[in-house]
Amino acid sequence: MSGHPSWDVVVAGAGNAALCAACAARQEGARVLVLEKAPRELRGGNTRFTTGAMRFAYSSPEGVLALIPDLSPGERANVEVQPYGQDEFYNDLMRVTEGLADPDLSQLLVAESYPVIRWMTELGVRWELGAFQRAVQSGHRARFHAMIQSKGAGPGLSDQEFGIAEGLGVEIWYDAKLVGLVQDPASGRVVGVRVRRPDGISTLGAGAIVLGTGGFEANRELRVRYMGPKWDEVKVRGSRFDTGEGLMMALELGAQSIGQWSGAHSTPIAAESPDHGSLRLTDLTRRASYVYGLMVNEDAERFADEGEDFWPYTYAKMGSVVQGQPHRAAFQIFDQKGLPWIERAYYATSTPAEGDTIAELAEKLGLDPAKLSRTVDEFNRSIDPGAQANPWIRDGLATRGLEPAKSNWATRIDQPPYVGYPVTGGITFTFGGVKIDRRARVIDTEELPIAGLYAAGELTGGFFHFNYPGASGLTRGSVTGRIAGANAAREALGKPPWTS
Amino acid sequence: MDVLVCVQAVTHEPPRLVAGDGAPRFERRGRSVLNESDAYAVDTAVFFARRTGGRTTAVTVGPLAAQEVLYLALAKGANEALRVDAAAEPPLEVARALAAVVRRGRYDLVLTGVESSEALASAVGPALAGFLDWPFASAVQSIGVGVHDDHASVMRETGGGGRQQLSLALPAVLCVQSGIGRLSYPPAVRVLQARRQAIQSLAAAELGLEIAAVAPRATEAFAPRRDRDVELLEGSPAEIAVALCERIARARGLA
Repeated sequence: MSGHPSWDVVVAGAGNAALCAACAARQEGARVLVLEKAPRELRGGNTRFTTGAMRFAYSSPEGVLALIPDLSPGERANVEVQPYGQDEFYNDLMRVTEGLADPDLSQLLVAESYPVIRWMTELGVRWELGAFQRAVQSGHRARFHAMIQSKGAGPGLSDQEFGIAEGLGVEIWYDAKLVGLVQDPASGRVVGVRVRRPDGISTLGAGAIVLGTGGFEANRELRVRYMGPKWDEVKVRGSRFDTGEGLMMALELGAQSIGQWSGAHSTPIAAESPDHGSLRLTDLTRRASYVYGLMVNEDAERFADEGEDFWPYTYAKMGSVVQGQPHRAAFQIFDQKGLPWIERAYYATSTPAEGDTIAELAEKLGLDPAKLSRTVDEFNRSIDPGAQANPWIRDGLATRGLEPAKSNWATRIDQPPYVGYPVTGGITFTFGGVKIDRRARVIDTEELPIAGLYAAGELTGGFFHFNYPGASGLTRGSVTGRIAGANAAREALGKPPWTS
Repeated sequence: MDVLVCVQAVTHEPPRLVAGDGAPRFERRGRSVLNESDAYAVDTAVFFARRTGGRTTAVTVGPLAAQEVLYLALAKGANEALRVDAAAEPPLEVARALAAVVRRGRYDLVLTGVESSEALASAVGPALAGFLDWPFASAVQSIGVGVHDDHASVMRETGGGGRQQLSLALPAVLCVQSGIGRLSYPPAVRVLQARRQAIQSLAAAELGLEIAAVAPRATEAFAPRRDRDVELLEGSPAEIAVALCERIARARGLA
């Protein structure tokens, strides 16, 4: 567009997906501008609120260890890398999304998961073995399975990515909100953006645009519009800035909506959590250790299978279940057998209620003592007294004749003092989004790409339905971001499309 | 009677000719769908396995994208599905991989479709029978076999609309013709249930195979050459009729 300052590629958003896009575009030689709506101190979108973990498929232990060059030889010798091939990742995706995940996008995600982490490593992102892996320390061997974690968790990943982008020469504007996409009236191509900054609104030209503006989880009106009244009141686990404007702009240009628009990643979180993610707490408010105890609602009744699967495969849908309980409230109850297994975040950010009897615990949690005692008795009666759970495997230790069942790790709640944590639902990111193709071009309702428009990260639909396998959100962001950035740059510079 | 049914993923859209660096080649595109005659083979396999109290195992050789067709096989009633993680060509290597799968289990019958709608090579079934040294029939139109039978009675299609009735000792490899029975269309919910099942994959090495990339190298690939022209006549029906008569007359040398 003549008469306006212009860039080859403008990236809207500054989370993991957007910054991967910016770096990939810069590597192709494009002049890249990133528009971050938030002020500098709140930058980074939802990425800062994650654990910084990424799920990926690998074919060899060497391939995994190559990602962590700063492991000492001693550490290296003590890591047991358990296999996690592409088909296992794919099977996990299909299983937890109830078979609804888009096959093309799933194949792309799975196939590109290792290459993109390699690429990030080459760019300078540093990883560690991960604090929340399913089997972290068993005896003296650290077990590695399926996910790698960024140094410094989510804030660390975000800081590293900003540093890398700046080092590559990406220009980043803070307090710069995308308020419009500019289309060429004749061709329909997206040729620029309108940006609101503290000093006013301006128009910028762009060879191609990447939308990396996230979902609409922090927008109450859109939540209720697409997901229903259950989501009017909900705590937002991440960025307050993920309000869906970028997604709405794409829809307005005719982008095709795909995926589960009524669904979101949502987890149980501490009842006392702030309304939006806090940079001090990040994801420490997550309460996903219900697998080692039981969960009741305000009526002191159980309402979910706490042991359906390892928590990384159920936590992202459990928030929605909690959200559906009276007053969006639930209580996680542990005895001294389960307590050693719960995540450290529980201790770090909450003071639990404690009681030497279930009735006393109920009293402190504000529950009916007789009702809670009855629920716990029924639960205990459905389990063999001496049962010992094995948290490292799906041990099949299940309740008998109880509705709902607890399918794994069911042991009696019988060793006082008993401990209870009040929780509520927290929303992480929405699942509905725009359709993209294998080049991350935004596809319209006639199945044609919208020229000049790419999308990456949480506003892309079709990847997740009802649930997702833990730690695949950042992977989706990096995979789509890298592809979107590289292709946007190549389109802007008149080069052939990029395929890995 | 335990039946192994070998299926192949083909693409929904026809391959596109790509003239890149080096030799031109056909690029597969679009989503994976179950090859038509293999779909009939799955239904036939499920029918015989169920009738005789046995199990059906569906197998394909191909990349992760090929897994989609196994979900359909499961939805159609296969009890198990297995993918050999290797390229889906050339046919002899596919047959070698399938033979290794057959040897790992105990199957009374191996079924597959008569041909892939993509390659039209009809090679995998005969090669598989050859590697196994099992009796074989192609273009099978009907199969008769009972629980305690050690032979299958098979009707196959021959040239000129003929039929041939065979009796084959079991185990045998049969390549079924499209239309051998009525095709089942499983309800969408069954397909979704199938997609939630984990599908086992085996690397070629796990089957003791070294699948060599000995695909024949294409020296040339081309779309059909046009030796006639198409002309679109425009105008009112009367003008088009006049123009058409002129063309016919010219072609016959009358004008």
